[in-house]
Amino acid sequence: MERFQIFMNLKIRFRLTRRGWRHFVRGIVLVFALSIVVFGIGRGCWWGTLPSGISPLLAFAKWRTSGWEAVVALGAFLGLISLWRKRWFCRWICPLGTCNELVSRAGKKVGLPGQSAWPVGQILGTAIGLTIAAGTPLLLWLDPLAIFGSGWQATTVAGVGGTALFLPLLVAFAFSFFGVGLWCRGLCPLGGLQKVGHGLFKFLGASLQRVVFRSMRFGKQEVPAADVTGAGGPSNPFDYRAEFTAAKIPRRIIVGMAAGSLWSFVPWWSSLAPRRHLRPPGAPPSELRFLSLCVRCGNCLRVCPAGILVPDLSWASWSGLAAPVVLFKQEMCPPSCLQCGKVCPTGAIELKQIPDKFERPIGRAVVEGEICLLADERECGFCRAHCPTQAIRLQFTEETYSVLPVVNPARCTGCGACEIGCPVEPRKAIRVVPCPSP
Amino acid sequence: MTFRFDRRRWLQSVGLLGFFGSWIISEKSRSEELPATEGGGFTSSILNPAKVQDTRFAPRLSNGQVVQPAREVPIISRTQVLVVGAGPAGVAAAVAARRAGAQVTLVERYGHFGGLWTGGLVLLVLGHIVTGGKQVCMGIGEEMLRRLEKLPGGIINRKPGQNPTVDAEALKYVMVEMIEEANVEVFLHSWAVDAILEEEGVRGVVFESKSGRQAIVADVVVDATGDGDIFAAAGAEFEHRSHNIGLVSRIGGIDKIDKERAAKTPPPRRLGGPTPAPGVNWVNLTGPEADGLDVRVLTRLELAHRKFIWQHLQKIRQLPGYESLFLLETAPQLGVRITRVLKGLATVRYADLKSGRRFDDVVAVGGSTNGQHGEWQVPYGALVPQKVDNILAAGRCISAEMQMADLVRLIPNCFATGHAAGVAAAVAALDRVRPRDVDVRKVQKILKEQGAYLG
Repeated sequence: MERFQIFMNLKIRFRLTRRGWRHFVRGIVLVFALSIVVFGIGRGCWWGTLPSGISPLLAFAKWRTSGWEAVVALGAFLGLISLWRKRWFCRWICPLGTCNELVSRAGKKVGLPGQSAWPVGQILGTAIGLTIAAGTPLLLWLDPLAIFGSGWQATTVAGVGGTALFLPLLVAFAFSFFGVGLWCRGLCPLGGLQKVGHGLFKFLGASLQRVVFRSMRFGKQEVPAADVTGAGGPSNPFDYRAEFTAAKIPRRIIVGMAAGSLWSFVPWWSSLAPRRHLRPPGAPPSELRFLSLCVRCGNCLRVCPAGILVPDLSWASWSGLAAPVVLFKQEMCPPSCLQCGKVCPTGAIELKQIPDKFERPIGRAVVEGEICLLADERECGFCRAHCPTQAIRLQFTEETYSVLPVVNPARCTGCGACEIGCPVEPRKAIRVVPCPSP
Repeated sequence: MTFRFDRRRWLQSVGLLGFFGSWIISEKSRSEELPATEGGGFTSSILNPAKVQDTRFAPRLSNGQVVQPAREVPIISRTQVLVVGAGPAGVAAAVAARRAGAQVTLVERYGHFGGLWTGGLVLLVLGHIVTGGKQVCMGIGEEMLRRLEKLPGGIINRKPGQNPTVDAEALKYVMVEMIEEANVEVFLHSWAVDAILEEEGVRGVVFESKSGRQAIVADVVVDATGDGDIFAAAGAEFEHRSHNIGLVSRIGGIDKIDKERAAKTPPPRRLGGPTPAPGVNWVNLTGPEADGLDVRVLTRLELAHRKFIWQHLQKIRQLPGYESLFLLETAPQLGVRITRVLKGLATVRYADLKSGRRFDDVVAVGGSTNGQHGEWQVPYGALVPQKVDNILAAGRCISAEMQMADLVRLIPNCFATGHAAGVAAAVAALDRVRPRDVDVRKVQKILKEQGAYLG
């Protein structure tokens, strides 16, 4: 009986309030997200694409590139809830939000004053949403879940250079610490988009309500809009209700849409961004499109069974910083593997089936005849033997009476088997090079 | 003077008659004693003044088809282990099987041992070293190289971590030495054309030679033909592949190149690599990819390659300083690389090379061309056909993936698989079991006793 009393006491002590439940859920999500990004749990499963995959923003991008998938549905569901409950995602799910809240509390404890938030996040969120719809997202990597995952790419690379990948995460924490929650309130594009979306949702709801209301009270006096929403005039400058009910679109949304529209013209110049690196199979032929879709979450680096994907850490090409690059050292891209495409949260790696590897190859193998052993009539032909797609032929030329490997580009996926098999050292006689931009 | 035939005269007459008579008889009998085939001095002899060959079993042309009647094939030898093909794999198999205690017969299509190594002039020994310059091909192949070292002009570049080049004639000499020491029964100029089958297994081969069609009956057959002629004839499953077919040549006069005048022009290609013979290089030729089992292809390439080699050397000779060069020889054997590859109980796989996989039933260890990767193991099953019994593959035709075929076909690796097949065949014959049921531990033990490296 006494024991039961104690148990009851315990139960009472741990009874969760609504707020407690929220923290409980956030904690679980945070632990889950950390175990995926740090320890690589769930490698190869569909939920290996989490935590980045749960972001509604990234789900929208993935839907735009690859259509419906389980992860897309999950992200869309969470996004819909956030339309209904203002910033629900931020408060209940977002692991970066949880971290930021802890950091903000620390800042508050130290005694830093809170900063008033600029509506940067709403501008960004609008612009990003628009550009995703246009196909070439702008600054998609600012998505909080992408930032949360990106730093941990460092676990896949050796050396100190990789730790620079934590920079976005640290910047977000710095905003939260010194600005006491400034990141989440003001800068986060996902938070901003949720605000905009929620406002839009409410506005539409109110309009609908008004229409229904008017039809119900047929012939009666029109109810002022302010009364319906109950805001009581535009006293708060950032009150979405006030602004929407004033039947004008807020300036920040217009700015965001303008920025997004301008950016949508940029892909026309995409041919100006030649591909200098080998990208994962399934990456779109346009380098710009790939770099704008890639959020540097590091999922592909972690999942690659061959370990050939590394983050690009050369600061010279800053636009592609931390994006995945294929490096062939010991291993090739396994011909039947689709893992990186499976875990990509945005469809930057659009790899659903084997033919995608031919359509959007890593690169193409090219032969340097000058150093090829066959040109010197030495025993070789390893490239042909190793090619998993029979793309290489040893072509005999009557004039020179010699043989050289010839690559059939239509059959080459740039998997690197030939490059690894080539016995010429250190510079291989057959190498995979990036495809020319379309 | 009266003629008196007294006792004295009579004795003299008998003595003289006896002397001349015996001389004549002995001369006559000596000419009869001479062995028939080798002739006497510069003369030839009639062995049979009016021989007509039996044509009862000759092929007949009827209804536009050539049909050969059934006939009995004379058995000229019965043995325990029959090795077909005396290339690197065949010689290693024959010597190993004999040393393991079996009675061995070796059948070779050409008039010399060594196959493509000697007859094909593939003088560079590639494939016995792995990362770090460690040598993995030991055993009988290594013994052969060590014997070559003792011969003047037998081998060069014989240093750890390097690929040596050998002299074909020295090698032929060494191989004869080893085969004779081991006391192997040999048939040269004998082209094995068919397998003799008994129920599920192979019981020997039928071969053609100048003596006609004859048979050798054996307990176990080792197919070291390179083309897998015997296991194919026995109905074993195989993969038919095409590969580049070339022709090696040797050019002389390299040491007499006028270096001062030659320096004015960029050095020509196809001068080849050095050989133990001074001033002589061996020149490889890759050639086009073709089917090495098609006699028309073989004929066309043989003719075309030889023509090209001659014409190309004439072009080089026209360059200043290179007038001294001359074509010493083109290889007697066409350089066919891969044709049939067995589908065995196990397969040599590239993934296993990459992962450095070790097999419990390892019987041979192969290397790389230049030490760029580690060693790879050949499981015993790679020598054993999936269904047909009493036959083992050795050399380039063992069960291997495309990626590995270019390593499996290299000379030291042929030694290793030949050595393994020879020992396994001897164990199977002596224990009276099928090759697939052989005690692999015992084979490994004997291989190690014979100096082989098994990882």
